[in-house]
Order: sequence, then C-alpha cells, then structure tokens
Amino acid sequence: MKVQVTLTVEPQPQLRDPEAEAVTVALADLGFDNVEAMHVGKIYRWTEETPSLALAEQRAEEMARRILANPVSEHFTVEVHPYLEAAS
Amino acid sequence: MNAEAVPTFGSQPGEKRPRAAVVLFPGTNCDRETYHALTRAGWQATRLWASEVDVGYDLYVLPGGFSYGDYLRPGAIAAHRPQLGPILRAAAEGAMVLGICNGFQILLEAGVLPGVLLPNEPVGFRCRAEQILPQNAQGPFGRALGKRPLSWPIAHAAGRFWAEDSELDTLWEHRRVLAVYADDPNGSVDRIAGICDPSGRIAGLMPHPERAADRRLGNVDGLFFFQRLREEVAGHV
Repeated sequence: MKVQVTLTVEPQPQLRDPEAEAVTVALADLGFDNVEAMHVGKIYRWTEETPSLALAEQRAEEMARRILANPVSEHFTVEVHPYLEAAS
Repeated sequence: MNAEAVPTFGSQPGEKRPRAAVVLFPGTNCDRETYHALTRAGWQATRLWASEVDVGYDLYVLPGGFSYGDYLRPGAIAAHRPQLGPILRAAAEGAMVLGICNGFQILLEAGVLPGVLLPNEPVGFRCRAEQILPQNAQGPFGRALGKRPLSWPIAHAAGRFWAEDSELDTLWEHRRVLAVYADDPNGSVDRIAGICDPSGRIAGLMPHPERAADRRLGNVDGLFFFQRLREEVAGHV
C-alpha cells in the first residue's frame, strides 16, 4: 500500500528557542501580540510503498532517531496515512 | 608578500614532520586557512575530500564551514556519512581528531562528543575575537591550549553548547572541558567553548585557532596551539 508519512521535529520544550522568541517579537510588531509558547520546528513529508501503516511508522521513527532529529535537543511525532492519488 | 619572510614555528631541518589531514566535505570553507596554520606550525598538512581519507595521519582536522549547506542541522549530514569511519578508526589507534566550529558540530552529531550546539542566544551570527580561557583539560589538546588566556575569533550562528547536567558533571569531573569564553557570546552552558572525549584525543572547539595563526593578521595565539599540538605527536614517537 502507498502511504504518506509526516514527521514533525521540534526543539525540546525545556530548551530556550531564540528563533521562536524572535518570531514571537516580529509577530507582536505586526499586532499579533497574543502569541505564546511558540516553537519553530521542521516538517518532513514523503510517500512510500509499505506492507503496513505500522511498519511505515516504525521506519519513520527509526529515521528520526538516526538522523532526522537530534534526540539531545529535539523531539518528534510521526503520522502515517494511506495515500490516495489525486483523482484525475 | 613572501610568506617565508614571516617568522614561523616549524620543525627543525631533518626532523620528521607529523602528518595532518584537513578533511573536506561539500560546503567546508575553512580548509585553506587550517592548512596554512598547520603548515606554518610545522605539520605536513594535506587537504583532502572525506572520501579520500584513510588511516595513517597523526591528526585529522574537520574544519569550519557549512558542510552539506547546514541542511537538517549543522554537521548532521556529514556526521552520518560513512567517510567518518576511517577517521574514528584512526582515533581508536591513537590519532588525534580536532573538529573546529562546523567540525565540532559534526563530532557532536556523530555522537563522538556529548551535547549539542544550538542557535546562539541571543539569536544571530556572531563573528568577532573572543577571549578564550583554557581549563587545564586532560590530553594533548588540553596541554596544547596551555594556561594563559587566548584571543581567538568566533564565527557561528549555532554555537550555544548545551548538555544534560549529568553529562556536564562528567565533563568537568574528568577534565574534559578544554576552554570557556571569558564573556558570553552565544549562551553556552558554563560558557563552554570546547570539549574532548574520554581519551582526550578527540576534541571540538567552537572558536577558530586557524584564524589566529599569522602575524600579518595581528594574532598568533592559534599558531602556538598548533605548534604545541605538533610537539604532542613528537612526544609520542
């Protein structure tokens, strides 16, 4: 089956995130002054052929642990959904 | 200008010079000044691509730059290339490995050194001379740093060293903190600027000794470091 995997990598919440702080200030300057607890992370999204959703999830977690996230400073979440080709 | 007109601290005629490999990844950009500093300090230095690296050098330097464009995280992709294997094998057999700036980031991402380098606090790229205080660490890098304060340039956006408390305790307890900043340029925990592994032979430094290695630039604090590092090899032959 074909699935779409979404891996979200974010900084560990206990670590200070100066990029998020800068973004928060920039938003406040534009009038969006009610933003709290901003975190700036990354999203990796791809499709793959897999025997099962569970296996795809397991492999994505392994990718995250081995290279796509740094366990010292980041945490991640994985979502896997069946991928439906856009109807033509 | 004739480079030879400048006083150097090279080896004596006939003395066998230790070999240093300056290892390049795509995006490395401090390799020439690193080569220059090592050569002036009496090393037989070679610049070569990571894929060409083999065992047999006394020192491997992973220089600064933006390996693989800093994609993923600084140093992360280089750290997971198979080419790091021969370097770590050589280190296990007694060679020294020094990661400078992006090279330090690579060694951390590879898990060879503990901790992580996060975006500077306050956020921003910082490029200026900093006073570096050696911490009398164990091993050849600790000895080569000497005891007096050094003025070394920094040039980084992600230089905020951070490690778990237990890891920090271990680093201090086993004299593995090489140097700290006199000021606080990037928010590093305990102002740490460099550390080494338990063997003392694998080291990471955020400041750039190779940019303080030519009298024409007004600073040779880094040249002394590379010269004393060379003497460390001579001491073990």
